[in-house]
Amino acid sequence: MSLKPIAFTAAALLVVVALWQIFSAPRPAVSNAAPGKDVFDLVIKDGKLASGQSVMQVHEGEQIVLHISANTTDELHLHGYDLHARITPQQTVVLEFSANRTGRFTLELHEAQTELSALEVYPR
Amino acid sequence: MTVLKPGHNAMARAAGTLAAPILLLSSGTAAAHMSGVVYNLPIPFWMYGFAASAALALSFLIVGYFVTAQSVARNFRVIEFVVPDHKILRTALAGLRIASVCALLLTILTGFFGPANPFANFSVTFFWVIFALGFTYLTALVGDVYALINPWRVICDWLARFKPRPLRPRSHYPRWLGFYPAFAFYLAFIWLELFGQPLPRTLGEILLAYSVINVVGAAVFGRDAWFHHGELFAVFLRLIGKIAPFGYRIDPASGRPDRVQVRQPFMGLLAEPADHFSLLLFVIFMLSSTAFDGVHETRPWALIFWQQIYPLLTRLIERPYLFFVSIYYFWQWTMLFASPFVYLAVYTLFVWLMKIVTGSTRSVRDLALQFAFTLIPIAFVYNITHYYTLLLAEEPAIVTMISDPFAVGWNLFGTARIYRPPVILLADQVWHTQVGLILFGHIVSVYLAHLQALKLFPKGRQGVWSQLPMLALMMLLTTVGLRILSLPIAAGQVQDALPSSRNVPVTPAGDLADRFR
Repeated sequence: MSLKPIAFTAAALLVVVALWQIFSAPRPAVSNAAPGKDVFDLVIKDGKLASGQSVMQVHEGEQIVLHISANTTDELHLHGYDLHARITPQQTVVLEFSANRTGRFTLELHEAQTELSALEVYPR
Repeated sequence: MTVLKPGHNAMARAAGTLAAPILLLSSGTAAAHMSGVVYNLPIPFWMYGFAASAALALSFLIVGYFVTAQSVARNFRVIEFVVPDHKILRTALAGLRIASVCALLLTILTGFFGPANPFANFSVTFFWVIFALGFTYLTALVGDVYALINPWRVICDWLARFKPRPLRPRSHYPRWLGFYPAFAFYLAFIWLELFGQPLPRTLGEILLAYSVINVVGAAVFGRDAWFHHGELFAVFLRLIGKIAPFGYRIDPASGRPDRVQVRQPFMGLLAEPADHFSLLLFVIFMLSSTAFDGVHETRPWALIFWQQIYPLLTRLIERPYLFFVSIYYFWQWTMLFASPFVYLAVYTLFVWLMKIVTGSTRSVRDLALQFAFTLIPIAFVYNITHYYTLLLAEEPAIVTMISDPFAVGWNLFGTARIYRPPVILLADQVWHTQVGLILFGHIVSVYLAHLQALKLFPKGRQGVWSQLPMLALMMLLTTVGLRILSLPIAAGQVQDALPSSRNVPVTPAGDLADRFR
């Protein structure tokens, strides 16, 4: 057997590893020693997001606090984390959880059938 | 894929009946009581940069490595086995054919009589996820088994046995018609998947209508001709089956598989070229439909309409906002239907360049057909990267639903009470698999194109030069595919100008157009 295929595979691997090293984002110097706390205030008006962020971007492991107030009664659902909450005009709902699952998860109202916002949890 | 999203009926909205523009860009959805939503994050930009440059570097390595023509002969080895005409095998095949028809019937019946909620309905998950995705990936592993068990073909075979006369071919299959029927059904299928999102009942009706069409098609053109050219899944899965290391030869007399071919994976794609222009178009749409699906819910794509086209339109025509919302939908549909032709134009350009570079006497059309199947690996990995997470997320649900497909309290297989949460992979696992698969598909396509070039342009180094246009085209396709994976997804309600800016002061939600100004 000739050495050609082995040399080729080695060269290919070397190229891929080298490129990975060049491109990969430098790891943040501050590690996840003290995960931050992210607070988002969402105001819902008639089943729509009246104020607040339509895309909530956080990092894995961070503590998420959602303050949700609304002028109607509805069922709130955060996908992936499968958090449900009943919202009413009387009180502000507070959802507090740790972003331990990465991905893009939508927050929606079941009765109004609207997507309020999306929680994007990026890996560290 | 946005199939499993109720309350998202584009038709209704386009007609302005559902005055909820807020939903317009929602990539997630309404009334979802179960998950059917893809949780993928866009890949990070640096990963896109890495993958694109790795694809480029590896392409050149491959071409540099395989410059000699000797490698071609070595790579076309096929071992054929004769399948014995054994009773057990015949019974097994008959069983599979019956099971296949039962699965079709069950899908149609649960569509009509099952729960109205698409997430709880067997038909929706089974058809869109298990069959359209899962069975496609299985076909890539085990070969085109579908040709043997195609439920519509089986039904026609049964009909022919009881009443042979009506299913005898009336006319020769016209050469010009080629694979256009399958291509037309493919356009319709993708439209349904992305925009139609039929409710279970509608899905049942569509499948029933499609069944009738297939029987009529088989009656008019004969079973062999129709299931070779006309039936969408037969054509699609035959192409995907070429990837697999197994091929099946069906004996035309008995309709029984009499030979099994074992070959290197992907080499089946080089066995024969596309034999009709419409088949090239079909392959091109495999690429462009997935690319369009990837891009059509991203923010930059939405901005093209709402920032560039919408302001122009408002200056030209004075109509209420909802009118433009329906225009937006028609625009999306047009882009979907135009996508294969755009890709075809680009492909033809590069094939033409290849002809110039090699000085080949073959026509551009002939060359385009010769290289068509080398695009399939890229198209296939596009498909997997977009949809495999959905398959993983939905697969547990089907195990539960199969025991009680009509949701009436049955427990046929004892799995009705089993609940497993959807499998949600970590975002970086998903990214690494996506990038790895795209690189893999790219390398395979480049390699196949190279082998094909050596076969078609055997004269000395002509084969090497002919690589460059194809290589450039495949780089372009792969880079576009990766770029799409890295684009931010449009949010249901976009208020701040940049989704990346965190904790910025909020502005009140205006209508859709305001959000993109």
